[in-house]
Amino acid sequence: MMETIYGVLSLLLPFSWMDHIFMKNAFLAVLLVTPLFGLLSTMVVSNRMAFFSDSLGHGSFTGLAIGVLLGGVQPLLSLIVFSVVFSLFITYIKSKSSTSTDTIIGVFSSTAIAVGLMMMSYGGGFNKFSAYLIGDLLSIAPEEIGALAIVFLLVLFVWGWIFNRLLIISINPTLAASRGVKTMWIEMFFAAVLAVIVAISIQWVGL
Amino acid sequence: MYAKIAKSRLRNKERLLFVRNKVSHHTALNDADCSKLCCTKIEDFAVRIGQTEIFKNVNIHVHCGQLTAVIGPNGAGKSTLLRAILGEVAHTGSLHYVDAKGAHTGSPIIGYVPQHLRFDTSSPTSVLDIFMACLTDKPVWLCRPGKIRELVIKDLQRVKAEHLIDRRLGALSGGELQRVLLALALQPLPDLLLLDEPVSGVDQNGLELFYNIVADLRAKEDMAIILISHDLDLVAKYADHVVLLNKEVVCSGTPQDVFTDERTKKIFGMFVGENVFTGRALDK
Repeated sequence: MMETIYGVLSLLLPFSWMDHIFMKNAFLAVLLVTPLFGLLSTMVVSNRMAFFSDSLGHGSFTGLAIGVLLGGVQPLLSLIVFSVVFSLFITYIKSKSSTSTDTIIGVFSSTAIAVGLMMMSYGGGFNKFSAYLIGDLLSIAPEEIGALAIVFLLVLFVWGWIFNRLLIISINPTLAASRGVKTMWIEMFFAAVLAVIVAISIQWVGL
Repeated sequence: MYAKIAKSRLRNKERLLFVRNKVSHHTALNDADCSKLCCTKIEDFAVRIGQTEIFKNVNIHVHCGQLTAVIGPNGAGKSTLLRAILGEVAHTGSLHYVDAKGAHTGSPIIGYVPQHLRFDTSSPTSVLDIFMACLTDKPVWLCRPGKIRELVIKDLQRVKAEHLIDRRLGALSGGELQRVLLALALQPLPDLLLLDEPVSGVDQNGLELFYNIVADLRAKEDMAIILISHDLDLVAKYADHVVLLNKEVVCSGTPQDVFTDERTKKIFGMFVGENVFTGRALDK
């Protein structure tokens, strides 16, 4: 499977930088990740969640630190779980409180960064996290590209299903409720999807 | 001097008597309406958010073909009442919808026109897009079936806004936007139409156009309308039934009943009701 894709890539792009397998992997990853970010970001912006996505990235410090501290657990797994819980919690508090969304996100974001940094720097071994902090697109493995392709297809499906509903919510949540949209569930679902995408792409694009 | 006071007292007494009679009469009329018109019964609604009680003991019957206006000071819980009816806010109490034949038919179809929109005005969403997002499950960016355009034009014609179909939402004026939202609330035709201060901040022409459309709907369509408004003159002109809400239902009845009620005066200041009704009397 991967061999044929590599073959096609060499045929289409006969450049010397394409001779290396890791370059081909990185190229495929870029091809998958960019449209993903493109279509999610339009919905993020129209739903005023730009700061939310940013804080997801920073908040995942804590998820990462927990994963590494637990040892047995893969950092990626704890990262995803933490980000999803984090995003659901923010969305829930946001819907229950009349405080401005940015205030709530700000409080959560800075708490998560502080806790994460504290845990990471405990014992002075900050270096083992640097791969995650900066991210390395060239280190992506073929099986990760496979996982990315599955995520890509899932997000395409979610995009088709959720777009109309999110569009109405972005105009007015009460109007959306009157049209039978379950506003809180949709928002939570979208936040969770966003959290997963941000968490898995951290290892390639950095925090 | 004394004569004057005595006279005014007498007048007050007369008015009170009149109001009392009118109220009891109206309640009777109201109950009679329940059996021949479709009726949405809001029973014992109460909303509490955290420690704050927003409102309690709200019992309102709204009938098809009637416009019920909810008035009250800011923070009285009017908008929250509508959001509770929509089910967006957790509440106690129940909502029954009974059609004209008296059969209990579950929950009514509700149309809602919000107070003001908080959206990005530079967003490329057009009027047609927002209709499609509400009416179809197919993503707006995917395809535009020709049928839906005709349908939307027909809906927009109802509010005299068919020329706005391809306009961006952000490029509409306040009055135009509210008319578009009204058209949206009317598709599908609701049993209960909720208008939450629909024309606050809209100019005089837009205001009249909007209210004329609403009055037209009230006369022609079989739907109940609940309107929240701070414009008491317009309420007096268009409403069949007025509910004064201030954390609970203070009083309700015909506009005349409510505006001449002592409690209304206490809440809105001394001469509100009188001004409205002397104005109305002159009109007639």
